[in-house]
Parts: sequence; C-alpha cells; structure tokens
Amino acid sequence: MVEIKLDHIYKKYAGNDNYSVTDFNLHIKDHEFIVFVGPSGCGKSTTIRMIAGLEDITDGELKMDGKVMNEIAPKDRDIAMVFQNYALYPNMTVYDNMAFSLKIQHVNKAEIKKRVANAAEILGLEAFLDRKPAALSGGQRQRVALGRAIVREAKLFLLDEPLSNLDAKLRVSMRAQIAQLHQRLKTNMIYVTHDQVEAMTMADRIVLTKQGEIQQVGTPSQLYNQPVNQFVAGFMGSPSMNFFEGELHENRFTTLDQQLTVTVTDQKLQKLRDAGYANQKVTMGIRAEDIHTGPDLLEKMADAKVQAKVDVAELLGVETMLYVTNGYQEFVAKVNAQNTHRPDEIITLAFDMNRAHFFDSQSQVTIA
Amino acid sequence: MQGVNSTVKAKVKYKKRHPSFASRFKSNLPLLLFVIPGAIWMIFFFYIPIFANVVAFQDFHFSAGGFLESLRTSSWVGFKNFEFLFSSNAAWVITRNTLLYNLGFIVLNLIISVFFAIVMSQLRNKRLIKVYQTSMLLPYFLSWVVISYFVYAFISPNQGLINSLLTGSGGKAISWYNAPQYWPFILLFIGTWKSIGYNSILYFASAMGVDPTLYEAAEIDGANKWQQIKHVTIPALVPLMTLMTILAIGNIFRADFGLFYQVPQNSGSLYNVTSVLDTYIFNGLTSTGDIGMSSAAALYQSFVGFVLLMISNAVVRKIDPDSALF
Ligand SMILES: Nc1ncnc2c1ncn2[C@@H]1O[C@H](COP(=O)(O)OP(=O)(O)OP(=O)(O)O)[C@@H](O)[C@H]1O
Ligand SMILES: [Mg+2]
Repeated sequence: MVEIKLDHIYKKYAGNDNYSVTDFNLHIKDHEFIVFVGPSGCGKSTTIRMIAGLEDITDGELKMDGKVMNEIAPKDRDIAMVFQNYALYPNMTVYDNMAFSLKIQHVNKAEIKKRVANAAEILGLEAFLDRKPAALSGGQRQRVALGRAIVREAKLFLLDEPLSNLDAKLRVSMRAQIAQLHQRLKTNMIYVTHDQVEAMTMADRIVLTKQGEIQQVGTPSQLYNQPVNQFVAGFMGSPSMNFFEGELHENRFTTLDQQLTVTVTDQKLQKLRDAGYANQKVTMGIRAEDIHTGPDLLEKMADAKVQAKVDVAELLGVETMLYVTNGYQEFVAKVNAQNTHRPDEIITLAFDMNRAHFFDSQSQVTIA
Repeated sequence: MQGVNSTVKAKVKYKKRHPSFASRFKSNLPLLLFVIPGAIWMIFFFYIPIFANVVAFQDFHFSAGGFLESLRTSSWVGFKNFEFLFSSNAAWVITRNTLLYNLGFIVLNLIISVFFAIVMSQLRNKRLIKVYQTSMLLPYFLSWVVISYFVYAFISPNQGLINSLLTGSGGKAISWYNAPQYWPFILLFIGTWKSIGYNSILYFASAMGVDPTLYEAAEIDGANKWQQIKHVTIPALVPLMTLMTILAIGNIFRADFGLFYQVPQNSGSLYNVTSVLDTYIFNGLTSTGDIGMSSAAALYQSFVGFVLLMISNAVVRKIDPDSALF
C-alpha cells in the first residue's frame, strides 16, 4: 500500500555508452499489479532493481508516498523482492530462509513463528519447513522465495521473472497463486516478465518497454486492442499480429505487390484521410483471430476477401492455425477447426476490417 | 483385468541388472586411460615403497647385494626400534612440538586466510585484488633456504635489523638463535606468512563462487555487511574450511621440514622448541645412520596421521555429512 512515482528515471551503467533506461515515467497507485514486459535487454530488470535500491539511479527521482527514495538503502524501502533464480540461502532450512529478515530485525520469536506459519500455510509449505533448499523442487523453491517476501509484510513486492525457471504447467498454476496472493495481501506488486501471456493474464496495468524506453502503459485490453504503435501491436498477442506493407487507393488497401486488396471501413478511412494518408503508403495490421474462413463470415465480409495458399495447418483443438501465403506475403490465420484445410490448397479468407490497424510505414505510429 | 495382471507379472520378472565388469571397463576406458600416468606414479613411489616400511622392525644394515638383499640379511628386532624411540625423552618433545605447531598453523591459517579471502571478496577494485593476491602469494613460491636468509637478515645477532633497532633505541641485543623462548612465535609467524597467500586464494575463489543475488536478497532482507558475511559468505566457505582442516589434521604429524630445519639454522640450543618429527628423523639419519630407527619414527608419523585423518573425517561425517571426504 504505497504510491510510487518514477519521475524521468534514467540509467546508464558505468562503462556503457548507451542508456539502459531512458526517461521512465510511471505512477503506480494503491495495490496495483503492474507488469513490466518487453523483449530481452529492454531494461526491465534494471528498472525494478532501481526501485529496489540494488542499482543506482543515474538521473530522475523515485518517490514512494511522496518521499524521494533515490539515496535510501534497500532495507529501508520496505520492499520484498523475489528473484528469478530464487536466491534462497542454501545453508538455511526453509523456515530459516523465511524467518531470516525478521530475525535480522529482531522481531520476537513468537511473532516470527506466527508469520512463517501463516506464509507456509498460504503457500502449502508446512511439510517442508525443516528441509534445505537443495532438497526442494523448482516450484517449491519458488514458493519459499515468495514466502520469504510474504513474511516481510512489505508495502511493495518486486518480482523479477519469478516463473521463468519453471515448466509450463507449473507456471500456469503459480501464476494463479501469485494473482491470488495479490488479492489477499493487497500490496502493490511489480512483476517483470518477457512473456506477454503472463502480462496479459496477471496485470492491472502493463508497462511495455523497448530498448529502455516505455512504449505504452495501460490495461491489458488497451495494449491489445489499442496499441499505440506497431511494436506494441506486434508484441502483444500470440501469434504475433500480421503486418502488410501497402498503399491506400480510394477506399481500398493494396499490398505493394498488388496481390492482396481489401476495402477499408468508412470509420478507419475517415481517420486515415484526416491524418493525411489518402493515397499514401501505410502498414496494415490484423491479428490471426480476425481472419476467417467460415462460409457465413466470408459472405458477410465480402469486400475483404483474400486468396492464399496454405503452407502449414496446425490443429490446436478447437482452432486451427493456418500459415498461408499470398504473393510474397506470409501471414497467419486462426480459424475454426471445423473447416479443414490441407497444405497447398488455395483458400479464400476474409479479413475483419473493423479490427484492422493502420500504422505509419516510417514511424510505425498507429494512425487508425 | 487381464491387462493389469500382465503388467504386474512383467514387473515381477523385471530385475535390475548391474552391468558386468567387462562392459563397465569398456565404457570407462577413455577415462581410465587418463588415470594411468598418475596411477603408475602412485604405484612406484607410494604403494611399492610402503613395503619397505618393514625396515622399521629390523636392525637394518646395508649389505653388498642391494636393498632387497639387505632386507633379507638384516635381523628382525620386533618393536625394539619403537621402544628406543619412545623411551628417550626425544619422542615426547618432538611429538609435542609437531602437534602444537601444526595445531597452531591449522587455526591461524584458517582464521587469517578466510579473513583475507573475505576482505578481498568485498573489494570492488579488481586491480587492487590482483596486487594483494600477488604480494601475498609471493612467499609461497620462495624456498625455505631463501626465507631462512630473510629471517637471518632480521634477527642476525650482529647485523640483524631487529637487533640494530633494539640497540639503536637503547635496548639490549638479543641472541636470537640461542633464545628458544622466541621461536614458537617466530616459527608460527613465518610458517603462516608463507602459506597464507595460497590458502586465501582457495577461499577467495570459493567466496567468488557465491551467487551475487544471495547478497542482494540479504541486503533487501535488511542484513548489513557483517551480517551478509556471517550468513552468506562464511556458510559458503564452510565446506572448504572443513576439507582443508581435515586434510591438515591428517598431516598434523608431518611438519614442514624446511621451516623447522632451515629457518632456525639447525641451531642445537633451539632443539627443544624446533625439533619436530621430520627434523628428528633427518638428524637421526644423518648423524647415526640408523635406518631402522628413522623408519620407525617415520612409520609412527604415518600411522598416527592416518588414524587422525580417519577420526576427523568420522567426526565431520557425524556433524555435517555433506562436508565429509568419504
Ligand atoms: N551490470 C550491468 N553492467 C552493464 N550493463 C548492464 C548491466 N546490467 C544490464 N546491463 C545492460 O542494460 C540493458 C538492460 O538490461 P536488463 O537486465 O535490465 O534487461 P532485461 O529487460 O531485464 O532483460 P531480460 O529479459 O533478458 O532479463 C542491457 O542492454 C544490458 O546489457
Ligand atoms: Mg532481466
């Protein structure tokens, strides 16, 4: 329960030429679950470590509840941190690992016992309290690391890729546990991941960064449905959004090789024209799930029909992922599995143009 | 039902088969080849000479036919060599000296080298660490003969640095090589000084292997520098500390010959505090030429060392099985 403000934060490591974090501005409100997401090396860990106090802030101000924290030692920031490699003390039992911070602060024995027992119960670790970390599975270790954070009763939880060492199944269940934990503890959490699925499912707000610069801050649905630029659009969602380089002619968008042409909806067209893109080069983006092959939808979206050759068809259960080619352009469609398609078959697909995005071909900024 | 039955049967029939010696030999052949040079060396210089220890039970005299012939012709005297060793006052003195000095070295080495290793691991300046390491390691590579001259330069009765300082400040010169009361400290100091660089590098390497996020976790948990050392660094060094101590205890009956022979310059008036098993054996061999007696002393040394090694390992296994040697 703390209000955090990152005010024009910059970070340059000694010996590096470039800034690892550039002009980072963020205002985190009471018990928000914030997820930092972005490709490897974009400065997520650096930022969270600056908040923790493990890394100096080169420029800018970090405020907690209005107080500047730049020079405050980590232990005095009232934070708890969970590391990617767990960082459990190998010589201590699970109990001692969780109790360590309290012992250091000379909390009385009974209180320590109570808090550790409570954390162990939340995380289902009661049976392992006497074990050393080496005798635990990855998932159990991760829970101990969480337990160590819980007993602190800190105002702010920082989690740096806590699940990336776990297998896919365990990751899903730990994801749910962490989300529950956030509900229960009502603390602020800042969670770092490079997995956009984790970001989408867990975050109240996502902070998407690229090369040390924030691209967009918003709710998962804002980032997914209203990306501010092509990078955000491409990063969120799996498979990645399909992009087509092309030109506007009247009310139609045509790819550069002239092979693919679709009608742009009036609303989008108006925006494009208002922004001065009539008969100009633009990039169109459309997600795999907005491309259809069902006969009824083909009929409904008759003015956005596209012919393409199937390269690969991946059956995922309810849906099939179709990797198709039109001219030089490859793209992916996620279609109903009931409509079966074979490789090399020429099929007709319909684009849901209401859900298409248009970006400036040069600056990649969203136009419509 | 039938399916269940058949799987149960299959389980019963299944027996864990150990690979035969031949197949294990074959699959490990490349590794075994690597072992051969070391093994041959060990066989010729350790395992075969072990049998020569029988001379400890002989009144050994060299005869013309070589060592084996001498063995055959020398008369057996049972434990008489040992009796002689233990009935003399020397046995007590050399045993006491050897044990106490080595205990002193074990304790001093452990504390001081761990201390320096931790200091170095806390330093941020990589260049400075290299400078410290090199200057601390230098004595390790010096021969005892060279060191004995260094020591002489300090404590020579006439031109020695310390005596000059003493007389210069109005004190009285000390005849160091005839003053046994100072030698326990001199020997402990010099022995530790020589080996500290080597040992602290071992501990330093071990300390650098500690996952840096452990320190960060401890820092966030509120631990100050000293608490981080106590709860993160030292626990990480404990296995190596145990290992080094076990090995040192196994060698506790083996004194550093050069230190006790060269540095005091084999001064007779210091024997009471400088005589250790190794110098005693050497002096015995060079002055009396009694191989049987010297072998008895050497065998006594090896035997006690072996027993101590086994005991200390057993103790460690009880306390902390992970740190035990075997
Ligand atoms: N200690 C350091 N010294 C110098 N440069 C560093 C240091 N740590 C990180 N960097 C640089 O800062 C940039 C951001 O690194 P950071 O670790 O914050 O990335 P990240 O977003 O956490 O990536 P990942 O998803 O791979 O963990 C990278 O270009 C990296 O090379
Ligand atoms: Mg990182």
